Amino acid sequence: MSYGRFVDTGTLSRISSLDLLAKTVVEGFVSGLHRSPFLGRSMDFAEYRAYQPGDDIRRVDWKLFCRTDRFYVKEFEADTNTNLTIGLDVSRSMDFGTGALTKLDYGRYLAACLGYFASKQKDRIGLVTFDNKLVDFVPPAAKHLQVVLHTIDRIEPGGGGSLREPLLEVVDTVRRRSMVVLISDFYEDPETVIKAAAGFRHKGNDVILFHLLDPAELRFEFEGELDLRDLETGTRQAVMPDVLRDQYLDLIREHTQTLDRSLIEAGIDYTLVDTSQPLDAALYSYLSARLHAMKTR
Amino acid sequence: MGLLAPLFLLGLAAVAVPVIIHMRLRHRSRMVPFPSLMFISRAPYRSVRRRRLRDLLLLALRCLALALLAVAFARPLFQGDAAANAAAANRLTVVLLDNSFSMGFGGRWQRATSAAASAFDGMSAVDRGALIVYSDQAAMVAAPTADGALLATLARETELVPRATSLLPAIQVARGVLADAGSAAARELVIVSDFQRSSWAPDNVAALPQGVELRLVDVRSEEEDEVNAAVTDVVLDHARMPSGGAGAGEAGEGARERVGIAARVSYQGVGAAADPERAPEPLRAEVDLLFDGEVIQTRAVELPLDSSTMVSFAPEVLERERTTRGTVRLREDALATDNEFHFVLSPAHEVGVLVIEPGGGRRRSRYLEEALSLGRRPFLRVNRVQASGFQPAMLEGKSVVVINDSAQQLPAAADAAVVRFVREGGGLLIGVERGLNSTSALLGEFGVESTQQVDRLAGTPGALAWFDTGHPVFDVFAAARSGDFSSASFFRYHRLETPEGAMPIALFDDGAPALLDLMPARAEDGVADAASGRAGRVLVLPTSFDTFWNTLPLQAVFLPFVHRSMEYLAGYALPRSWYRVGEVASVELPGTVGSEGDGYISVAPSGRERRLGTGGGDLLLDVEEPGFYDFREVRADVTSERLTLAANVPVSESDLGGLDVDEFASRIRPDQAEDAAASLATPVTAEEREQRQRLWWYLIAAAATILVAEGLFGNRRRRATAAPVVTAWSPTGEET
Repeated sequence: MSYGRFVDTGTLSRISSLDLLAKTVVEGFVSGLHRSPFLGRSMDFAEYRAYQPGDDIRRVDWKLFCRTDRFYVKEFEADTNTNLTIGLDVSRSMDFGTGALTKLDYGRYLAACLGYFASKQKDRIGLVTFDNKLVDFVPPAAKHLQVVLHTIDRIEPGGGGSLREPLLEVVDTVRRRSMVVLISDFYEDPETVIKAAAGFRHKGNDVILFHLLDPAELRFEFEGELDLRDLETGTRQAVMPDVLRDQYLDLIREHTQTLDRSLIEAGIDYTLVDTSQPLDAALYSYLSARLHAMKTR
Repeated sequence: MGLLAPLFLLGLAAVAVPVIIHMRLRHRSRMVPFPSLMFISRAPYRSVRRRRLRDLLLLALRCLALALLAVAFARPLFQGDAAANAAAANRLTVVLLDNSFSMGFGGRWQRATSAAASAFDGMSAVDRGALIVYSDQAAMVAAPTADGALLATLARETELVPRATSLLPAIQVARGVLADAGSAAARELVIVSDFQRSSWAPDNVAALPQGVELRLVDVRSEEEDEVNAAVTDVVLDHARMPSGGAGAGEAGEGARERVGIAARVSYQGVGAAADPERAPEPLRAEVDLLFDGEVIQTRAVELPLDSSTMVSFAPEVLERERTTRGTVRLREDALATDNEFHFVLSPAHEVGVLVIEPGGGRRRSRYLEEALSLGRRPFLRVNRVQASGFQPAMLEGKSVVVINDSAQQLPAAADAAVVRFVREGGGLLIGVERGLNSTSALLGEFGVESTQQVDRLAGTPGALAWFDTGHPVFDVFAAARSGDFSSASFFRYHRLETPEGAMPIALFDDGAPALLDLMPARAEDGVADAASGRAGRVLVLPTSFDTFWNTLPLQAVFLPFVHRSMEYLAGYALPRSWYRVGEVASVELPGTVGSEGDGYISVAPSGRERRLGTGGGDLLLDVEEPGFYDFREVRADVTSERLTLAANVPVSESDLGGLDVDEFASRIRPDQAEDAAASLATPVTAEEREQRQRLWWYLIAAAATILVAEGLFGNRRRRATAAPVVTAWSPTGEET
């Protein structure tokens, strides 16, 4: 596809402004697309302006004509298509990266881009960050882009632990039908993840999961004798990567495949993201999911 | 276990190198943060432990290889087993006990056994002792053992043997025992003996291992007179008693044999050293002559000290065809074993000789016949015949034919008969006749040719320039001045060509053969046996047996020359009348009876029997006891001629003269390096032991093997570690 590879993760890591980063990514991404079929109209009133010939007379505000005897036309803001709630895992395990970005950075950029992108689509944007509990919650609103970006900007890696409880709490924060994006490395039992995602789905939400994994986690290309330390629990274990590699890769492949298979069966989009790759793949996955949501609504 | 180069053990410090490397490499394992050990902890990490175990195994192999190399360079050796190590602090006592019969003199034997037994007193648990009994031969009675009581008992139970004494072989046996115990802290050799002069030759030198303490126990007593009388020899003089009517040349026919017997009695010794003023009394004794155990004559003898005499007995007539046992017996004295001398009297054998001489009135063989008639051992029964009157039947019963100056006159039939006689084992002596101008037919039969007749009437007559003293004919002349053939003049003789296979055993001064042995191989066999059917012997003298051509019959050597020639041609061996203990007797037993029966049994004087074999002929017997040995058929139903052998003690033991013990001790020197035999007894040094064991070689080999195994093991692991990772998948889930 011709849309990708315009902003790599190395470049993103050098952009300090999250707003500028999201704009750069999304504008670049959008400019590579054809005309978007997903742009809708807004029903929120914005301002009045004088009638000009050619305007639709149905948009003339007759009450104001009665009071002022002038023709004014109502201007409305574009209509909000949906709510977008981004759930971002900020647990300690996300603070890992062997390339230019950690998974948490990558998740932040992805969340910012998705927020900016949704803002461009006139969607309402909300944000939930969590580790082993809810950390920040920004309710979805059309004007919350800056709040969301600011919240994302000040994220710090949290603690570790099970995702079960925080994910269920995130489900409770979504009160109306919306699109829910969960960004995490999902070091959790697949059943827990699926159960939480299914909770969103049961409320009529569209759910998309971005599973962020570093290349080191995907390929385990370590050498020599290592003493691995768990970022969340602090426990250590000596391993011989060349001996352990096959077993590890089998396990993590089984994990991702279980998630993929089970989530698809539940009607939930699942995207495994290599954090060494540009963000466009993730954005494209989001757009595909949103299109799917618009068609089915 | 010991080490020749213990400093090399410092190389064990090199073991620390792989340990340090291992420790450093182990600490290089780095800590890496990882998002979650959720999957890591699920993976079995036995591999990590196994890797560590493999690392430890490799480390152990490397350390072991280095340690083995260090130990190998230190040249380890086993010092010996525990017993040997214990022996390092013990004492070895080897006792040489002389049990020759001279030790039976007076109280010597009792003192000797007591001294030998007491040498083992006080042995501790780690001490060892050995007992070697010796006479002219040494025997290990008890190998090194810690049982002192057993050794003492064996010493006391040792018995005297009627044998001579020889110290040298006994010391050599003891040296071997002492050398084998080189690890003993102290080694002692105790020699218990009367130290007879005869037991040690003046030029003898013995060697003992370094560090051996020598202790000499002389059992001679200063209180006793060490004088001994002994019968040391007997001389037998056989003579024929002419029977009625027997003329010269036929004296043996029906004659009986008379034997004169003379015994040598010696009286030697010294008086008691404790009383030098008192001289031992002279010997006054009676000497008995016994035949078959009965005293038949007695003679009185009186001898001063250190003298000997011949005691002659009246001649005795021997019975025909019967062996008589004779003994000369002296009165008993302090050493009785040598007071008897045994001998066997058997009728002398007769050898039939036929002398053929040329015809005519003159007796051409007078000198020869006179010489033959004087033969006693064997008796020569001579018949004379002229060549013209020769009949082949005359060869019947003859062992030797002498053809004197008449070979050419024999008829052809006679030649054939003589040749057949020789081929059947007979002896032939040919004196080449004067008239021979070409080879006679008889000589031609034996391949002898005469090229020319040598005439030395003018000028210097011929003389015998050389004769082979190794040949049986001339062996009696081997001693200096024992045979003067040079005085014999040879005026004429034939120059004979030596045929192939023949050997001249005497040469004239011009190089011509003076006596040809046509069948010298027979001489090497030693004894000709006409009855065995083997080819006989032929001697050719290129001159005559009278004084016409030479003066040989006039010389003193003529008689022994003729007698030895007859003995050689007849294959006669003088039977021995006695043997000495320690000798090996060659006993001629009738073969016909033995071959049909089951052989013979020898019965020693002590009654001990021994099977000699199933065949006839000569048998060898170790003479071990003085007295008479009897031989009888194994088959009880076979009766045969009585066979007896007489044995006497060695005469050297009768001389009680002793050695100077200090001088003897000085002849036993410590081992020298140049003494090859003694070097065998040198205790094995640590270097020699290490070289023999070569433990370093095995250690090097083991280290090399371990290093190879470590290399293979380590490379295999490195290859596994360096293998590229091929299992991965893309974020889209596709395996690559």
